[in-house]
Amino acid sequence: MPESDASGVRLLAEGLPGLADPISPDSLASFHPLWASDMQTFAPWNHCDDRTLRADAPPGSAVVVCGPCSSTMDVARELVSRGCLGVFGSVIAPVQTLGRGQLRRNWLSAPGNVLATLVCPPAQGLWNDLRPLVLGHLLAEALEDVCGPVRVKWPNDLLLDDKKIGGILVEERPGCILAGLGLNVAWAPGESDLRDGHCVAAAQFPGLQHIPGVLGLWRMLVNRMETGYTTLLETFTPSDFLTIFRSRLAWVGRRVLVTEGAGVRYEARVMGVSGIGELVLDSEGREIRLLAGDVTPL
Amino acid sequence: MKPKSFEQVLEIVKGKPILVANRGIPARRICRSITEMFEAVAVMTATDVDKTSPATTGAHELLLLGEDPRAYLDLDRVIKMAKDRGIVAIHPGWGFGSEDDSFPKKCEEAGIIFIGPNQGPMRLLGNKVAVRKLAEEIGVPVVPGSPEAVSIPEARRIAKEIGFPIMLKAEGGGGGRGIYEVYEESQLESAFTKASALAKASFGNPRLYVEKLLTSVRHIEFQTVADMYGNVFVFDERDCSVQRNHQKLIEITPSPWPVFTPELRKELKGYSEKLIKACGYHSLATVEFLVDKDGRPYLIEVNTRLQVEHGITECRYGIDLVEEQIAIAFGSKLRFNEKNTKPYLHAMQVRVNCEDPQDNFSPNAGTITRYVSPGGQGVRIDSCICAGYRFPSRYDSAAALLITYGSSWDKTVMLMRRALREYMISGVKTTINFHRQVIKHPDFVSGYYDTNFVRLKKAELMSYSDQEPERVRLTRLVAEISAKGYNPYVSLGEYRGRADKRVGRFQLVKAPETSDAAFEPRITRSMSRDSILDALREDRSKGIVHFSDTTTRDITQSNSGNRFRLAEDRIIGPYLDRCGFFSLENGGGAHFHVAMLANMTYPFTEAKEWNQFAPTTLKQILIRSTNVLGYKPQPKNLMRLTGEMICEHYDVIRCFDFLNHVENMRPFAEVVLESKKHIFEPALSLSWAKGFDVDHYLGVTENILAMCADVLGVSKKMASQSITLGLKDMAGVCPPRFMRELIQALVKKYPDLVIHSHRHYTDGLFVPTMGAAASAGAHIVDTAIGSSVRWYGQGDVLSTCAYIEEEMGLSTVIDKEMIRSTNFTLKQIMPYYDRYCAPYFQGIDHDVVMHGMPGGATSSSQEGAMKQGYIHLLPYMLKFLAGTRKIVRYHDVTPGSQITWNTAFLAVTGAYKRGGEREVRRLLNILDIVNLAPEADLTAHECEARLDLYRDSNDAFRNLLLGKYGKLPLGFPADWVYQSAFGNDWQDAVACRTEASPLETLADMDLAAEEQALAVRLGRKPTPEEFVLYLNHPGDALKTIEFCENFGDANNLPVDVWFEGLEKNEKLLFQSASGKPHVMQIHDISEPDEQGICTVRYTVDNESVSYQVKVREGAASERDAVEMADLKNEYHIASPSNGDLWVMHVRVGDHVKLGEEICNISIMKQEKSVYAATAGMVKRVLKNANYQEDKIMVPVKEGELLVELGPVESCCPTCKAPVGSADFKFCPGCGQKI
Repeated sequence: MPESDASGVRLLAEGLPGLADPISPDSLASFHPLWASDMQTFAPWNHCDDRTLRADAPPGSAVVVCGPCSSTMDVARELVSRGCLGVFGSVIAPVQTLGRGQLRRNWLSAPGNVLATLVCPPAQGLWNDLRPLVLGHLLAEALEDVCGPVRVKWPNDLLLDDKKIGGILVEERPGCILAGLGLNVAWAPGESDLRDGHCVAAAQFPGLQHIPGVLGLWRMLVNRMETGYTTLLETFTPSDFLTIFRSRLAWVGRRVLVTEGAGVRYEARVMGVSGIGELVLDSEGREIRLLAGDVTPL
Repeated sequence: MKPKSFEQVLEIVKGKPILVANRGIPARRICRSITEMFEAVAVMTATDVDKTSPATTGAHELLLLGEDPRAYLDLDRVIKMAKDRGIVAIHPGWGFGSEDDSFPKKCEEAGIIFIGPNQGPMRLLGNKVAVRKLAEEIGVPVVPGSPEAVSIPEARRIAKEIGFPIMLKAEGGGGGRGIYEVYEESQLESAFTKASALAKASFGNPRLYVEKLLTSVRHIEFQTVADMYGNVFVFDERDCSVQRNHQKLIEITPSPWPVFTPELRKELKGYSEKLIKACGYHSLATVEFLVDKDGRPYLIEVNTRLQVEHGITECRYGIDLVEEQIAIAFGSKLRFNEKNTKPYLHAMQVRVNCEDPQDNFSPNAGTITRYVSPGGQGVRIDSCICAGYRFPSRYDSAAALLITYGSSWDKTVMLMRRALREYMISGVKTTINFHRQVIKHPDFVSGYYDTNFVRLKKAELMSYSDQEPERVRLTRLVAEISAKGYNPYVSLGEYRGRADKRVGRFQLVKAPETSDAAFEPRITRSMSRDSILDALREDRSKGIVHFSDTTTRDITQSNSGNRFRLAEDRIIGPYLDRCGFFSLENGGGAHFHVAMLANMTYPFTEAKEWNQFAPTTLKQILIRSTNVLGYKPQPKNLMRLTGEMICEHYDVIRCFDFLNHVENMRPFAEVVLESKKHIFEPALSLSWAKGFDVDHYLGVTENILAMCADVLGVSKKMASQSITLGLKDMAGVCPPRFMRELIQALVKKYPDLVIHSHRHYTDGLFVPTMGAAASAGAHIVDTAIGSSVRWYGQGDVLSTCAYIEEEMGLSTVIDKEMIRSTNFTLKQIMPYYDRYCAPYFQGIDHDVVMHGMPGGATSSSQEGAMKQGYIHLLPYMLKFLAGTRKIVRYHDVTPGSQITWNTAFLAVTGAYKRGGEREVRRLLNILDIVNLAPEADLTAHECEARLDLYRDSNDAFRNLLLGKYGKLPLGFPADWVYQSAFGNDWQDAVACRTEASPLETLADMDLAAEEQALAVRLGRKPTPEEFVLYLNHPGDALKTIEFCENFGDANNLPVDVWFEGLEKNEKLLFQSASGKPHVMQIHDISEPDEQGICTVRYTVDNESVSYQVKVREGAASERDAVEMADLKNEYHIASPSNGDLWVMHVRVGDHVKLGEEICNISIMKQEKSVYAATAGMVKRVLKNANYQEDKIMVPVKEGELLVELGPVESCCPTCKAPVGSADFKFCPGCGQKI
């Protein structure tokens, strides 16, 4: 087991019974060239007392690489409950068997994509509800350096040229808040793979040449999100943040098809985000505020 | 253009339509000027939300903008509509389009006069960088900093020059937005990046400039007005230093700040004039400065519009700025000059906003239920609200601008205090209370403060309560009772409907004054204990017997299942006080609990008041030994704390124990006997049954005297002279012969012991038994006033007196005429209690000598059986009671009576469930056999069968068998009883039973921690009384405290209104706690709407009020009418936020563990698990979802009840006794509805 204060990159070599398979640098490298490149970058891997392999990398937030697993969220939850993973610690895996999106939808992926879970710090008041938006914004900001201008589809899907390149799911339970992140780095599901009534087409990253590897990319993103998150909450009020968020919001002014939870569908225009983070829509002069639901451009 | 005179402009404008492109306060304010001198047509823009708002009343016409609430910002559309209507001029007001420099241009293009400046000067003065440049050019001081937007290296250089702290300000910002404070160089870089990002996102312009951050400054601004011909007039300063986050809260003219000198004023006026002149500006403008603590001024900005605070300048000068502004726009020459326009008054404005200052000034919207505006000399109000107006959430929170003006600063302050006192707004939270705090703050009055005042003095300014005057709160209670037809707080259910026939108005007719003026009471509160006891002994030796009166405690509690309110005590108490009774029993027992449970009164406050309206006669209270005033043994430190409070208000403390376990009374003896004034009256609990004979009771008396002797440190004989002995026949079962025998034996053995006899009427033999007690030597007997005498309480004083005097040949010292007057008064009160309190199981019941149910429990227990659907089993239950009393022997009084009743109830209903009435009869048959046949004669089959008798008994009964309440008076019952009650564990039970007082093992309570917990619940420090009430009955104490905070003292309402409310058009005269008389009249009670809400319209002292009362549940389909969770109830599982429920994991009947996930809510793709805060069984699931199956999510609201759990093992929420079965609707112990 990794120790709770262990930082840097570690490999969960022996796996977690029932949750993650054992893994070695060699087997990881075989998943995708991006992983192979990671294994080289972070070599040598040293055996530690806690039965993990530690990468030869500068310290940073704890990143635990695990083998094929049901979902990195399950692995992360187990590590948190054992006291082995702290705030801004994360778990990343090459493949998931039961990756999940919002509302237990499937999350389709392939090796070479980022499949990771980040342990989020607790937040007070409105910040707690705004967490998905904050993470979406920070991730979009961090990804801009890699793949150009990324917009956020409310609340936090990441869009590149109106196509979805990633998504975030936050699960909040007392004492443990996890954000699951999926990024279509090397592969994106085709139209036929997506569920009926999906919102937006998926796309993969525009080019892999600038990407140092899945793990390398993830480390960069985690570091950016950690610093960004801390300073954002210290510097801005929620209302300031929402002002910034609005500037990144996709499809403002466009007509969209709204699908609400209860199967209700109607057309509306995206107006912005309310003072508490709801998506504000205008449906024939009537203002509508969404806390859940999906919008698809018409 | 040739200058026009004002009169010429009047001619031009008269009858022409002028549009105010605004809403709310500014729209109303400007319309007033349009319609006054100009006699023009005032047209106001209005969206759908606003088209019927109070502000529109000032307009002649509305320009309807439709439903989009942001339509005020669509200038092109407004101008087009204005043109179509033939509008000649547009006033932009403040906010919305007023600072948009395209507005004048667009108006010009449309051929409409813009009442404001031209585009060019407006753009120049509206741009901070440009103004700064202009100011520097013409020698107006500005805050040191960069002249224009800068890069980070430049910012660093400038910061070095001017020194930290600095501000980074967005070029496009304003109104306090887009400002970053940087205190040291190390923060500069990151702050710059962030401020720039925010500026870009907020204003579309990332450029920042640097300014010195001034730490202690006043905000001083100058109103200017200029015409198109170069004439400028500058008014005296407005001091706007009371701010919050750069938002002005209070504005004052002239500045009350002693540092602000006439020289400084002159200097700043000069700067202002220069600036306005320099750019060829006309219309109104405000030049804003910061002035540091040394009086150094710095220009900050110029506002090119009418400002919110213009009214105080108008008051200082006696002018109308809007009128002048309109005239100037039409080409009028400025009328103001130094000669004709002189300041002569002080003025101050507070902004009354619909915001909750205690919640960080969060805006709130809702219906204004009550609106009373201040008035009188020196007060001006510009408001946009009225009673009944639904304040919208879409716009800013400004509700009113309140101005006071007077000849001095002090006068203005005092006027404002008065005006804020008069100002009443209900339904939404406002800043009125906050302003009251500011206006009385010494720093504010002295004038020495700066713009940090609100931030630094936050703690003092926020410490106020939003409580409204009692007359307002009390009338809401009356409205609620009237709308419902019954009073929900008396906990008697829906005992009447609104249309039901009434007992009628309570109009007390006073008794004629016929009392004996020469009558002197023999015993008074001014006497010491010893002199009282001596007087009783001396009187008894002369054949004189005394009476205690129980009218206001035991009799009503027993007969009505309720008790009088303090309101009725206030009427009857002064009469009772003059009757010559030994004591008035006015507290204790269930009476204490009911004060909170149903009467919403603090019982010790009530007792204190008793001693004021009835100061002469001793007051008596009944205490349940270890349970004190509750239903379970109390730790010793709580007993003492309660005891001390009791001794403050009561003179005679009667204390009983249902086991006659004398040690249980010791803590009370210690408290009471410590004083020379209080009389301690330990009482024998009396049953009339085998084993409880005279010798037994003599033995108990001996123990009592030994305990008291020990406490007093004297001999038993001395102790017998220092206490009174109560004889408490609570069921009314001991016949005259037994009482005669017992008292004769007591008198013989303890000749100095004062004997106080108490019994109930249940067996019908009250009078002869009390006669027997008196003739045998009792010193005092308990009776009540005739018109209150019913069935289970005490007997009538005058009939008992007649029996004692005429049949027994003894004498009495009471004022019978006064008793008759009391009786006459009481006759007028009783009908209300008779009508609305317990109507069940009344009448004499001589069978009490067998079943032994005491006092009011006789009726309430039987009522419980009936309401649970077991009326057909009641005869069996009474038989079981009679039988079990012979097996497990103790006295049937609280809590013993509850234990016996529950045991009988559970045994009979249990048998019924097993095998119907046949099984019940079999059970009773075996009970008979056990009681009749000697142990040796029982067959093996019978020995087996008797184990069914207690198989269904509850924990209370088992605890009694274990000795947890104290020592059983005739020892432990036979082993088979344990076998029956405990089953296989019976031997362990026998092994661990004890005869020690529970007090020995009960650990002291952590009082400090409890007090802290209560303080947290109340949000304030509790009073000592509140604390004691809370410790004794936590739930009901909280309910009562909350009631009193919400409604005030309900004892200020007459009895008819308390039970029946008011009918339409009836008048209620009442007094609030201060003694001030008030009148209330209900004009209308609407039918309930689809949400089950009635609106009650009424007046109180001529003020109109609308109050909404929920009288029934709303229609289930109504999305707004969701049931909200009770946050204090851990069984209620609430939605943690607004969102969508997408999965519900539980179903009705499921058992859930503490911390188990119950459901999951999705909010903005954050999935929140909702957990059980306690273990329990699912009683109700109010919302269901299974998204994965049906792709349907269910919207839920924050705080909405999603799942209701119930206890796994049901316990009564009030008395904590196990309820026994899940289908019980009432607690068999205390009758509480479950």
